[in-house]
Amino acid sequence: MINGKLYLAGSAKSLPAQLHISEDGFQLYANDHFSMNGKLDELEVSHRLGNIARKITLKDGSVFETKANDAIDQSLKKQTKSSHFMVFVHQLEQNLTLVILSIFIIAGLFFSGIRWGLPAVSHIIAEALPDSANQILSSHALQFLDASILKPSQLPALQQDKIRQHFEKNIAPLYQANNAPRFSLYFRRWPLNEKDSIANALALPNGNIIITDRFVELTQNQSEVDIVLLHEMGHIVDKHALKKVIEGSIMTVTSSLILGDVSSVADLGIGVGSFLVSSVYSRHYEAQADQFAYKHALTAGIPPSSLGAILTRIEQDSIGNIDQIHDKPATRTEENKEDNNLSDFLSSHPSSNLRINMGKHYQTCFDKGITSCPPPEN
Amino acid sequence: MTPLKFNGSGSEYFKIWIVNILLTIITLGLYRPWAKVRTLRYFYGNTELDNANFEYHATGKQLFVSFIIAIALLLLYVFISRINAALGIILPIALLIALPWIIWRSMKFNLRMSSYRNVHFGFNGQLSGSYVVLLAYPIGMLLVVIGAVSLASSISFWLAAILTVMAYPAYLAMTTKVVNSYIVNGIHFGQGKVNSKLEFKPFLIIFLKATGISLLLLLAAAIIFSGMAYMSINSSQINSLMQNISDLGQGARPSSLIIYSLVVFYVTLLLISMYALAYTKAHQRTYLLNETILDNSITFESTLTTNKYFGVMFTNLLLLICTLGLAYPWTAIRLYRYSIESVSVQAEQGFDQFISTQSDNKGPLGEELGDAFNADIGGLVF
Repeated sequence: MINGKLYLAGSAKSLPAQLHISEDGFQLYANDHFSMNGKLDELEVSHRLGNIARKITLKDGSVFETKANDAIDQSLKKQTKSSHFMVFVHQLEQNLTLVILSIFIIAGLFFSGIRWGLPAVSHIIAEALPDSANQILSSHALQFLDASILKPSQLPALQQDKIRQHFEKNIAPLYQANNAPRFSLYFRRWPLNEKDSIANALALPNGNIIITDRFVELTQNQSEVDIVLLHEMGHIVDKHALKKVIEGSIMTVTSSLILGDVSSVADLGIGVGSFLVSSVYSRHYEAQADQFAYKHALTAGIPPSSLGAILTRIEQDSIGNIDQIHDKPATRTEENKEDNNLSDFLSSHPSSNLRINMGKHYQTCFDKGITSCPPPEN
Repeated sequence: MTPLKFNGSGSEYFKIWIVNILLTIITLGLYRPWAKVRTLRYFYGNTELDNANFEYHATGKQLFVSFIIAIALLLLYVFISRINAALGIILPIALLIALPWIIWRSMKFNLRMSSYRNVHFGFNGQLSGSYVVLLAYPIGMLLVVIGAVSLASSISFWLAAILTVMAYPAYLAMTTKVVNSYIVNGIHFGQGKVNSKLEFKPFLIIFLKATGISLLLLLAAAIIFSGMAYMSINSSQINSLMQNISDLGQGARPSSLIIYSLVVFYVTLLLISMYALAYTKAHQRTYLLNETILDNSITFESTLTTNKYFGVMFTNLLLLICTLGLAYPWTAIRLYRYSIESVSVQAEQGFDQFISTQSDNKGPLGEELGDAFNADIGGLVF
């Protein structure tokens, strides 16, 4: 016998009631006034959840409510209308070992999802998307850059033509594939202030590569120009921009999906977390573009060490600019060295040391005269 | 006066929560509607008034299709706004226009799915009303404020500045008033209607006081920190800090001192805004519940206090940080328990006279869209 309350259909008024369950069916007695009986499969029992009151809805819409959860579970075990899956979920919740195990399983799945799952999925999607996705991604991008930060190049037209012709004849053809994008080279000036400008090279997903005047000035030979252009081609060929967009979208949606009921304070944690994750992905892509550059540099007979050389010079140039502005030549204090650890962690590019080591690896191959070099193990 | 009671416990909810997450991950997100139902049933089912509990009736199966539609739309939305800058501006506007509909549908669905003593709640507000209070009022008032400020700025800069500072609490008070009036007066419990006569002035006073308190706390924090900085940092460190700050504009990397000061600044702002939030929440609730009456006979009262509510939020934040988020279930239960148990209900004739009424049953699409796009009604007191 199970004690509880009986609500008549749609009414807030309740009567004390008792429910009897036997093999043949149930009997319900309410406050000695009347009784109801019927078959067990006429009852609709709510799923067990913690110890909240159980509702048994009868055929006529009236509801029997009781807190005797265990008694209900026992006497209605064979009752088929209650979903087996929800019984299973309740058992999971009761099992403390399983709950603790779940924490580790979740952490493991989460980590591997970020480490391998997301890059793999975004790779598949990026390859499956038609080329027009790349076109949309870079439509108006050059105009936008021209209107905002970039200024027309001040390099002599002759020098521009020379670099462009060399690129189109010797570098761009190094990558041969059916769906190879058409690479085109643009020259721009990226001013920092009236006097100085920034040395950089940019790749747009549709195959446009932009190099700045300051970058050309800093290069000491043709190899340095070529290997940086190869690095940018690597970004384009592997569709890095598109992959970043896909990864970002999926990360935003899944984090709200899994942790949907977490409050806005935790949103903050998700924001910081996805920022860190995306800089890790970014570093991975830079390293990938480096490898692309080294691989093709070897076949073209360009010394791989050129990349390290020009990157170091670009970095020194940006530091030098700042020092010049404040008439403070190269007085980088001890404090700043420590800071680099923290900043490196937040940086979107691999640390220069890592890049230089990889460069050395390929340089060794180059010096031995090997044209295909296995990537370094690390 | 009978207070509401909450019977849930952190450890029990922790198990439900972790199993929800596990099943959601394993099913690649498909379990989410069932997880949501279990969570809501747990909170409703453990909320008790006068020996009877509340109940949430939606099922995972019922939510599933709408959930899939909502997630597909969200993915499309995020992807498109990242891939194309022009569409990235248009989409939020489209979402803004859809928002009142989403909120209206979701109010209708959620209240329909809630019951107490076998009697269902419902929402009678009109869709047009939702557009008036959620779009027309905020946009209209924003235009008036912008117009007034630009007119004032042609006369005097200071007049414009004062007007801007004054306009913000007035704007908040007005939107809060109209939104809460619309929502609360649209609710019914069985045949009983909820009535609430809300005025602009009490809300304005609450927001003005909250602004004043925030400014005072900000001033106090500024004095304390500049005092501490003056005592502990010597002048050469300040010089190098200033140097580093001006270098930032040239693309240099920030020094750790700057990062740490930013963190301290951020945490201070977070705490002050948390306190202001607790203040407005406590006072708005007291006012709103005092003015609210159900079926012309049942009245309400709130005993929520600013300090205690802030205390719960603050310790929750510490707990979350220290446990890397694992304490979430306990923090959720603590906050819910305090805000629920501070509400009392006066029902002299009891609830026996209430009966469920028919109301148009809207599907869960609005609710699921609101969930996916994180659409909250700004300024809703509950």
